[in-house]
Amino acid sequence: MIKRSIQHIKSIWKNVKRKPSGRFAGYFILFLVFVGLFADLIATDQPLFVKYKDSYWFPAFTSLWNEERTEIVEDPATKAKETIQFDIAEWKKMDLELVIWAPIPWAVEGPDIFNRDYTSPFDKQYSGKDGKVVEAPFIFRHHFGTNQRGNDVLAGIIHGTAISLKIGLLSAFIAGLIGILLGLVSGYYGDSQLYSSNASVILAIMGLILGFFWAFITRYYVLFDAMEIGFWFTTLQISWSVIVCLGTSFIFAWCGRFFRNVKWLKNKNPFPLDMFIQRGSEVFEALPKLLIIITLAAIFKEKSVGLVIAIIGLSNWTVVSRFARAEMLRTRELSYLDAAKTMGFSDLRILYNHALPAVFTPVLIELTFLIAGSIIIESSLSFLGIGVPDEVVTWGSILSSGRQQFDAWWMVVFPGLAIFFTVISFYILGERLREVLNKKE
Amino acid sequence: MWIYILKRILLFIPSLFIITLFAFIISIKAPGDPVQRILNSAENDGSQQSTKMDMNKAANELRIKMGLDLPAFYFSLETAADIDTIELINENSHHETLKRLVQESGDQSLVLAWYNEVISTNKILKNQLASPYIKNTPQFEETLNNAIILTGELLQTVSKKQRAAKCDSITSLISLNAGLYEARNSWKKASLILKEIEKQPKWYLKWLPHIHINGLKNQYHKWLFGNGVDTKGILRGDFGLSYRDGQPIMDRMIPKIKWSLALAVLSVFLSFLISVPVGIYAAYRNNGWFDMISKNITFVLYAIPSFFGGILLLVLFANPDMIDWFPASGVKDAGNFDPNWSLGKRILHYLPYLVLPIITYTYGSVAFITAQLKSSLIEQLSNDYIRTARAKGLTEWKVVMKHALRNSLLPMITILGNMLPLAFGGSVIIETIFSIPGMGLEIYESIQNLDYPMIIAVFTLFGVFTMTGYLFADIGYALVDPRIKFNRNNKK
Repeated sequence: MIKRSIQHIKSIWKNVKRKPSGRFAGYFILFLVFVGLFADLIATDQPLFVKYKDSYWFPAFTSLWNEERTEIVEDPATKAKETIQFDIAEWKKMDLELVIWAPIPWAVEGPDIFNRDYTSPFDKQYSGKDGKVVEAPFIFRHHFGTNQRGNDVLAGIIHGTAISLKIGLLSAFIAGLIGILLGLVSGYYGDSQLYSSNASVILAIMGLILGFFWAFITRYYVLFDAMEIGFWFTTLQISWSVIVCLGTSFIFAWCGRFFRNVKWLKNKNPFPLDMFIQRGSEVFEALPKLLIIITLAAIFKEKSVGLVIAIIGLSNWTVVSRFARAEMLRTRELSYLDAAKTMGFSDLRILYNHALPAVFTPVLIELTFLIAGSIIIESSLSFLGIGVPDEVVTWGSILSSGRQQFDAWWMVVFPGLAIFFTVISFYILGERLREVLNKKE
Repeated sequence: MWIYILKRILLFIPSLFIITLFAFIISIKAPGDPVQRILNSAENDGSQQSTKMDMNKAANELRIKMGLDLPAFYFSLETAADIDTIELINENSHHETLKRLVQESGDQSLVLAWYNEVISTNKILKNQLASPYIKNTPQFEETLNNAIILTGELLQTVSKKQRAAKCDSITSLISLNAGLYEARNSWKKASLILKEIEKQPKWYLKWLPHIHINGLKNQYHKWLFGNGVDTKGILRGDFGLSYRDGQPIMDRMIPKIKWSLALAVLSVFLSFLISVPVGIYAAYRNNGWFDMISKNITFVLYAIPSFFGGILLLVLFANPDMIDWFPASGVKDAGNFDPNWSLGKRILHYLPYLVLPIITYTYGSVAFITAQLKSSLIEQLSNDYIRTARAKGLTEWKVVMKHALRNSLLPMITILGNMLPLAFGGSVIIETIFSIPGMGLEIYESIQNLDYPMIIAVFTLFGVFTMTGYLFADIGYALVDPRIKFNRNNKK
C-alpha cells in the first residue's frame, strides 16, 4: 500500500517537473520544508561547533533537546572556573578558539545592541570586537536588516517559515479529512440512497440527545477544567465527547433493527443525508471565521498555534467537501461502482476501496490551493495581532511591525515576498497538478 | 420553478435559526460578566460611589432587569441531580463550588446541609470576632481572622485538592485553638457531611438526563423578540447597547456601513469593468500572447495577500520619501473638511483618500473574476451551438458577445452573491491598514475592546447577509438558467 502510493507520487512528480514552472515550484516548496524543519539550526545565535578552553561542544545541536545545558570549564592558565549556560551565554563576545557559526548567526529574540533602531540591510552595520565597535564582518551582517530592538529580520522570516508551513499543512490536513469524509458520504448516498427504518431515525435522534447529555452536560466540568489546562488537552476531551455523542446515536440507530413487529416502525424511507450536509456546510460558511477565532481565543484565555490550526482547518472543510461531493457524484455514475454494488460489497468497502481513490486525486489538487489559502489567512491573522501568541514571530507579525515604520521598507518587503513566493509556488504546483492529472484521464 | 424557490426559502429559515443560536451561545458564554462590565463602566463615570452591599444589590437588580436570571433556552437538559435550587442562594460566588459538589455526589440535600454548616461556622467565628466581651489578644484575633477567611474561601474553592487542603487547615486551626471552641461543633458536622458527600452516595444521578420545559420566559426568546418593555429584540434590529459608549449598536453601525458599502460597490463595479473584457479577449484568443500575459499577471496578483499589497501601495504612493500622491490614512482632512458641503464637493474631497483602498480591494477580485470568466467562456466556446452559430454565418463579435458570453456570465451570479457580506462587513484588513471608518475597522476595534454586543450583532448580521447572498444566487441562477434540474440529487 505504502509502496504503491510512493510510486504513484513519484510518477506524478515526474510529470509535474516536465515544465520548468512546476519544477521550480516543487523544489521551492521542498526548500521551504527544509528551512522550516531545520530553522533552529539555520538561524540561531549559538554556534554549530565550538572549541573553547580545550572543550569541544555543539551548542546549537545539543540545545535542540536540552535548552539549558550548562558546562563548567577551567582556564588552563589561571585555573579560574567559568560556568557557561548555553542558551544565555554571549558566544559572540567570548574568546573562542575555533568556531563554526550557523548560516544566520542570530536568534529570533536576540537583540543586537550595535544595530538597533531599524538598521537597513545596505547601511553600515557594526559589531563589537575586543571592546571596540568595528564594522561587522560579512557573517555577522543582518542581510535583511533589523527591527527596532535589533532583532534580525531574516532569522524571524526563517522561523516564520516553520510556523506558516505547519499551520498551512496541518489545517489543510484537518480540512481534507473532514471534507473528504462528508463530501464522499453526501455524494454517495445523496438524498435518496440511504434507507433507514422509522424506528432507527427516531432512536437515532433520541440517542443523539442522550449522547449529547452524556458527552457535554455530565462531563461539563471536565471540559470546563480542561480549558484551564491547555489547548491540546481540551481538544482531546472534546473529541472524546464528540465520540461519545455520535457513538450513542449510532448504537441507538443500530438497535432500530429490533423493532420488526410494528409495521410503521419497520417502514423504510430515504434519509436526506445530502440535504443536511449541504445546509450544514452552508451555515458553516456563513459564520464569520475571524470572529469565531477571536471569541475562541478569548474563551481559551491564551492564544495558541494549535487553536489557529484547528479553526482554519475546521472552517475550510466546506471547500473540500464541495469538491469531493461533486467528484463523487461523477464517479457514482461510472459502471465499476455499479459492478461493485452488484457483487454485494458493503457500502463501507465500496466507499473506501473504490470511491475514495477516484475522488482523492482531484481533492489533492484542491488541497494544494487550500494550503496557500491557509497560509494567507494565518499571516493576515498575525498581521492583525490575533490568533498566534505574541511571542511567536511569523511573517505576518514582522509585516505588521514594519507597518509602523515606513522607512523600514525591509520589514515590509522581505516577509511580504516570503508569503508571496510561498503562496504562488503552491498555486503553480496546484495548477501543474491539475494539468497533469486531468490529462491522464 | 416556484416550488424550487419556495423550497429554497423554507430551507433558509432553519439555517437562520441556527446562526442566531450560535450567536446567542457566544453571547452567554462570552468571558466576563456583562453586569459587572456595565456597573464598572458606570462607576468609571464617577456618577456612582457605592459600598459593596450597594453594588451587590445593584448587580442583582440589573441582572433581573436584563433577564439574566431566566433560563437560557426554551427547554433545558440537565442532570437529574437537581442543581436549580442552588441558583437561589444569594451569594453568586458560591454557586460553582456547590454545583460541582451536587453534580459529583448527586445528593443535593447533603450539599445544602454542608453549605449551611460551613456558613454557620463562619457566622459563629464572625460573631466571636465582633463580640466585645471576649478579650482578644492580637495573636488570637489573627487566628480568628484566618479561620474566617479560610471558611469563606472554602465555598469558592473549585478543585478537590485545594478543598481538602483548606479543610485540613481549618480543622487544625479550630481544634488547636481552645478559644475557637464555639465553632467546633458545627465544623465537625460540616466535615462529617463533606466526607459523606465525597463518597458520592447518588453518583448515578449525573448519568440520568432530565428535560425541563421553560416556556417562553427565557433569555433566548427575549433576545429574539425583546422583553416588551425597553428592548425590542434582534428580530426588530435591537442588538442592545455597546459596552464602549452605551450607544445603541444600530446607531453606531449605520454610518460605518455606508463606508464599507461604498467601497465594496465601487470595487466590485471596477473589478467587473476590468476583468470582463480581459477575460473575454483572453478566452477568445486562448493561449495567445494576450492570454499569456494576462494569465501571468492575474496569477501573480492573486498570490499577493491584500495586507501586503495595501502596505506596498502605502509605502510607494503615500510616502513622502517615495511618491507622495495620496494621503496615507483616513477618509477626510479634518482641518479642511466642512460637513455642510454639497455632496459632489464632499465626494471630490473623499476621492484621493479612497484610491489606494479601492485598488487594494479590487486587484484580488479582478484576478479571481477574470480566471472564472475565462474558464467558463472557454467551456462555452467549445459547445456545439457555437459551431452552429458560426456555421450560419454570424460575425465573430455576435457569436462571442451574444451567444457564448451570456451563458458564461452565469457563474458571475454566484460571485456577486458571495460578495454581499463584504458590502456589510467590509474588509477588516484593508480598513485597518487605511484607517477607513467602516465596519471592518469597527469590528477590529470592538474585538480589541471585547465589546460583545457589537461582536454578536456583527456575527448575526454577517451570517444573515451571507445566507441571503447564497439565497439570491441560487434563485437568480434558477431564474436565468431554465436548464437547472431542481431535484438533481433524486435521479435514480
